[in-house]
Amino acid sequence: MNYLKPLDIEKIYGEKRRKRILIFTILLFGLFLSIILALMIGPVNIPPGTVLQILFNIAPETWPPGYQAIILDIRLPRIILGALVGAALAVAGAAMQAIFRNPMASPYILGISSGSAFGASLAFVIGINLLVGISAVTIMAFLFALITVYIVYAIARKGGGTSIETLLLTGIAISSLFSALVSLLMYIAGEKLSTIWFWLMGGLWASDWNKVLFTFPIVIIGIFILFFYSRQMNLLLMGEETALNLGLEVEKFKILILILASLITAAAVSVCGIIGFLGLIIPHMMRIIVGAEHRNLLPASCLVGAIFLIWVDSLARTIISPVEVPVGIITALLGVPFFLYLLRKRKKIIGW
Amino acid sequence: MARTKILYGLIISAIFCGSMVGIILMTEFNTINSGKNRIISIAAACTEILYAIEAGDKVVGVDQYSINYALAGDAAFQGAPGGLGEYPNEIPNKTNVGTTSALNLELVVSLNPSLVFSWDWATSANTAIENLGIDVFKINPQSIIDVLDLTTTIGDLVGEPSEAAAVNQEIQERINNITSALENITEGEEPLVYYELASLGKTVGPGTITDEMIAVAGGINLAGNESLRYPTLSSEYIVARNPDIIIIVSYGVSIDEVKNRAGWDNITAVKNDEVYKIESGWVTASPRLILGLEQFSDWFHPSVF
Repeated sequence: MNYLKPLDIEKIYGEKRRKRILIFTILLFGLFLSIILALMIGPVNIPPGTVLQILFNIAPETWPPGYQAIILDIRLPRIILGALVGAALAVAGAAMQAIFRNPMASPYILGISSGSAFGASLAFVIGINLLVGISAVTIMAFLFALITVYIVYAIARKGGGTSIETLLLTGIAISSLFSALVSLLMYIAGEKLSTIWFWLMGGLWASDWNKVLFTFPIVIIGIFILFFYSRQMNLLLMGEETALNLGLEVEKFKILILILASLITAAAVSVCGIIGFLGLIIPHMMRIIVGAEHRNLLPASCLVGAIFLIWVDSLARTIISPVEVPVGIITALLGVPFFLYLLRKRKKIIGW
Repeated sequence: MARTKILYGLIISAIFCGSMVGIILMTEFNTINSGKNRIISIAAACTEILYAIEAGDKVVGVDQYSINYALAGDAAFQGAPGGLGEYPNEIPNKTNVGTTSALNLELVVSLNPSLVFSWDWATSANTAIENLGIDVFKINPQSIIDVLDLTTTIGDLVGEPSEAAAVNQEIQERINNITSALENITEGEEPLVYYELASLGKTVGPGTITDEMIAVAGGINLAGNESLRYPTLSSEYIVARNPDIIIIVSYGVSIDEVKNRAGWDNITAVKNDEVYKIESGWVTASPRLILGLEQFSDWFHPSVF
């Protein structure tokens, strides 16, 4: 009988590997192409040829003064930061969903968004000025994001372990607390109100190389370590007890993943404000497209998150130029319909 | 543990590549050749001062709010000091560089400015512009005297000191006209004024320029003793205080809506039909505050003016 025939494991895995390599080659190429193309889009109309000349430093320098600064000091850091933030939020979302085994989990589930919003608002209202090169708002947002996660974890921790439910509810409670504090700050903000409001909507307009240098190491290291633990996340999908029986130190592992995901989320949020929905939706999209196997899911989320945010931000800075639309508005406006379409179209249940 | 080695390798090379890219691109950064007298103003108060002192032709870019004020039309600039009369016609032709909360940095750079005027509190925008090697002059006028000082400073910065002095002299003379006319007004004759911003109860407290203007024009600000600069008062508190005059800023609700609020028909201002609307550009830190002052004093003390 046919189904009793021994499976050719080598062949199946070989095919899977080839498919994986193909997908990631395409996505990597897509990311590279997105960066180059997005460099050519902007309110100041610079011919694509000139953009490439400036980018690769090809003589003769016939362009007007200022073009070089626009490409290399405004557009390029903004696009790279967009890619980093998109990748960070998508991977953090996928990791949080694995840990919480809950489709509602997002990078902000532990209250990072509210915490960093409070830090940033505080910096705006008090009017703290520069530390070194990097804006005080970024530093404050980053610090308060980490403080929030620590508070949530410290409260949820009981005895030797932390239950997922307690963690989740503590996250919601602390998040509400910081939201209230942000509202209070907005109430007394006076003329700074619109600045806070814009920050809360998320945006990459104030990107510069300092922010890239701040975000890059944290996000890249965090993402690669998370990639490294893909197999363990697969185990966790089968339930904590099964994972424990299969030799995974579940408690330690959960904390490690939470710390890493929080760290890269905090780094992302602190440089560009709260960009909603991306971290929730991209992992789900990728789960529908490449499957729930984390060795595929995490890199796919990472690359698609980066590409998605680059394009959404390109739209944000050009759609009603010269005024910018907060990028968070567009992520939701574009992301939701596509996500709902995929959700209706999917054939099988994507299990938890 | 070959895998761990690969992991560390990746991490180290990632950091290395990132730092290298950053450093290379930063060192390639060239400061922009600064043309003379190319000014961008993302603080509406500065834009108006620049026009008042006849330096409007040096302005190459403005923010959205500067343009919004111009859209209020010619009437909002009639009788304004200096060259401000040109403002509503010329400002819409300047490049719009967005707002301080989401500045269009590309356009700022492409205009090749020698100086950017900005608000002191717009820290993100100011940092972003300064990181591009462009000078930013930050302002934070909080009172009438601040506006006069600022006019002098801007006059020196853009090389129009005599025009600045003339504008200041005109404003000072017009203020003196008001204060001398009000000399014989006693405390009991000063009306209690409720000044409403965007919505019910949202008003101006101590330390705001509007609060000072109400006092100079011979009125008493209903929220003058609150602890916040922009407090929100409850409806019943306003009714209980019973203001003699209600002023609504131009972007606020309509006069009819205020008159029809539950319980507000008992307020003296509503009974005597003393509910007014004022152009928002007349009650900000700009030379046009003199128009606001004259309008206020006219409403507060019609017998004197």
